[in-house]
Amino acid sequence: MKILVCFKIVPELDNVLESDWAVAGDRVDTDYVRKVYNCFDEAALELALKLKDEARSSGLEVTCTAATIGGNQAAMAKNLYAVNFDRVVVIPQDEVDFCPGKIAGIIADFVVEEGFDLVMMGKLAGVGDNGMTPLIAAEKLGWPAVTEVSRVFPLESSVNVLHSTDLGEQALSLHLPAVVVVGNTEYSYLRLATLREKLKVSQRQVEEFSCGTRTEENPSPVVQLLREKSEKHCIFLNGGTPEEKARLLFDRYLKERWST
Amino acid sequence: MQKDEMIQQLRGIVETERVITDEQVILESSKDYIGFRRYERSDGKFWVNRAACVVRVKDTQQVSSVLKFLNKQKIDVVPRTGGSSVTMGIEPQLGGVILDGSDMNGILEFNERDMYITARCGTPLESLEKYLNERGYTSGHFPQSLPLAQVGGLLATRSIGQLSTLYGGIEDLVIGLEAVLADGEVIRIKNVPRRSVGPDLRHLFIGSEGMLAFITEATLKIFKYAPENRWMCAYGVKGTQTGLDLIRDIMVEGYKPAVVRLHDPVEVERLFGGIAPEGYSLLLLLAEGPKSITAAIGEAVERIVKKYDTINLGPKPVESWLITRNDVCKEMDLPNYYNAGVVADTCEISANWSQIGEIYRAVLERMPQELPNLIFISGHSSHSYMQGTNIYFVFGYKVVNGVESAREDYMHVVRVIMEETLKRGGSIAHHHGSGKYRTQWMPQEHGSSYPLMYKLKEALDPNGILNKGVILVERK
Repeated sequence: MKILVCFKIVPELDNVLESDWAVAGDRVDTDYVRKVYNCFDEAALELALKLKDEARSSGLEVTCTAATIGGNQAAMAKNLYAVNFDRVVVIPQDEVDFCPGKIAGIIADFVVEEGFDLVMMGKLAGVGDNGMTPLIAAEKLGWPAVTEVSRVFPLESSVNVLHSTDLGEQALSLHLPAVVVVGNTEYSYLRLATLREKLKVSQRQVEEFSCGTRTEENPSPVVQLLREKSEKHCIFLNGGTPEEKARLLFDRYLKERWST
Repeated sequence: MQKDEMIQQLRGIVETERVITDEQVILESSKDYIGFRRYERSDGKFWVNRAACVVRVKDTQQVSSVLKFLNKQKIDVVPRTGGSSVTMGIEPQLGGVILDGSDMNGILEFNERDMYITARCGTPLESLEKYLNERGYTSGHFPQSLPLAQVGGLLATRSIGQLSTLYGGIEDLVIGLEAVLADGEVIRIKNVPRRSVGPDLRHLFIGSEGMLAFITEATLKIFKYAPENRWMCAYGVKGTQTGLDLIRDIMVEGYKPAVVRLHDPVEVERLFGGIAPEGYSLLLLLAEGPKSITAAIGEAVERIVKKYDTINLGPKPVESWLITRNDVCKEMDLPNYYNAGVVADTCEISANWSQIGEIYRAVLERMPQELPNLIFISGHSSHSYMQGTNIYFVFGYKVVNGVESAREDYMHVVRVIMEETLKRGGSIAHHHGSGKYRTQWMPQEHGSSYPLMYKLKEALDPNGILNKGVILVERK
């Protein structure tokens, strides 16, 4: 089984200065803040490694490839060798933040060219947070996609997945090829490599995949970014009893909303 | 004396509700944030001696009365205030008493004319700083424990702040203090700018880690607060030794930025991921004070920096660090590392310029050889002087043999750092103090001056009731 995990390295937005958020335009300056694995992608990376561990213990052959598009984070991506990814691939590309169609196209091209059976990726990734890329990629590939996946278990030529739905958690048996979209998981951190494991792979280089001229242009360029205002006010309800306060709360703030 | 009788008598000295025997309160008051204890607690293990009770004193008179009683009965006592210790420094003795001064909270005097502030031992540093900022002043003291720390603990541990290159450590900020000796005697040291009347007795208590007295009050210097005058800049510097040489140059030329931090390339990748190229360390500089001085420092630094292989990263990395620098305090009780099966912590040492780089190199080289489960080891310099600087080692390792092995591996890491530092004439604790985990290396740290520590202990606490286990190796 050949697994591809798509991941993105993103700026830690909590560390962006207030003054930078205030700037309106088509870009927020995040060059100076720490970069981290996008949280859902990090969970997908760890799920793939768990899948590989479990497959191996059942005598199944699984290879894991991690790939990222754009950015200049080869040094950080390289660490994935140390936690037992077989291949780490960077696909150079400019302007990837608000282009789900373009990114999904690149992923689909890479998957077809390399012959992967299973594609795993986080459900959405900052800065765009559009949540569309996995589904468009599945559509371009003509593969089924399962969303909100929290666990993946290996079988001989298929996988079992657990995913959450509006009605609760559901177990599915999934024939491959397929796209697995990872949502909230119980444990979402990528395992840590020891220094010795890192030293062992320190000479390995990240591979590059060129997407050439097949990539489509982004049909919807970003014109302007605006910060959503989220002002909050604290109001104390004055009432003699809890019942009075509840009545005030209902009459003044809830009634109208509920009726609409 | 039996526990019940002791508690009954203590309840005769202070109000009944101030003597607390509830196990949860005792455990909470015994809590230390050293890495392996955090791991143990996340695993549900509270492997710490159980004190008999916590006594939450309300004033100096109560401290004096309680100590007088405990001294007479020869009962072990551990002083505490904010409880941000990372050295096992406030872990109690079995059946002993935790003397908690955190209720002794409040500012006693704010003197703008003479530029000082007097606060009780339980005053949170964060509220003290806020009080000063609202009046246009600052304490100049910003340890990473700022959201937790209280005045008494700052003095007792010989604390230092992130802006120390300008303002100095707590020893440079204390003008006078009040402390209570083991026998209940109250000592006051008056507030004057300087004097020449014998040895400076303030230093008996600053850094004594509660083994010589209970500090009840301190008077601290204050400074004009003008953040709008700050000059800030970050630089990528090729390699760590080059960065240390650059800092030395700034210091030796006579410039004193308030913040001088050099994070090695490992930390640049791990903590500041991606903001400087691979192999570069990150230098964060901030100058504070009157505009003319900060501008002059900025200009001089820029001139010095140009002599080295550096990349100017602008002020934003420093601004961002300023905002997030103490966030770790919010996560101290979260099991983030535990969930990954990891113990992570820091260990700080200091040395002169001629040796500091060697210590750093030796530790980084030796550690992975000796600990196969080591995940990361890195270092940063955060407090610089004309003669040298500190290195704050940051490390993490996988717990591979169960929670019981967490402490053994921890002490292995610490031993490597202590040995390599002592070998090169450095000091094994720059600002966290001895606590109870570095005590074994204190004889080598102090050399021929170490017996004097015992003489001081004998003179001030002859029954040895105060914070047994810190600084002094127990004599058979």
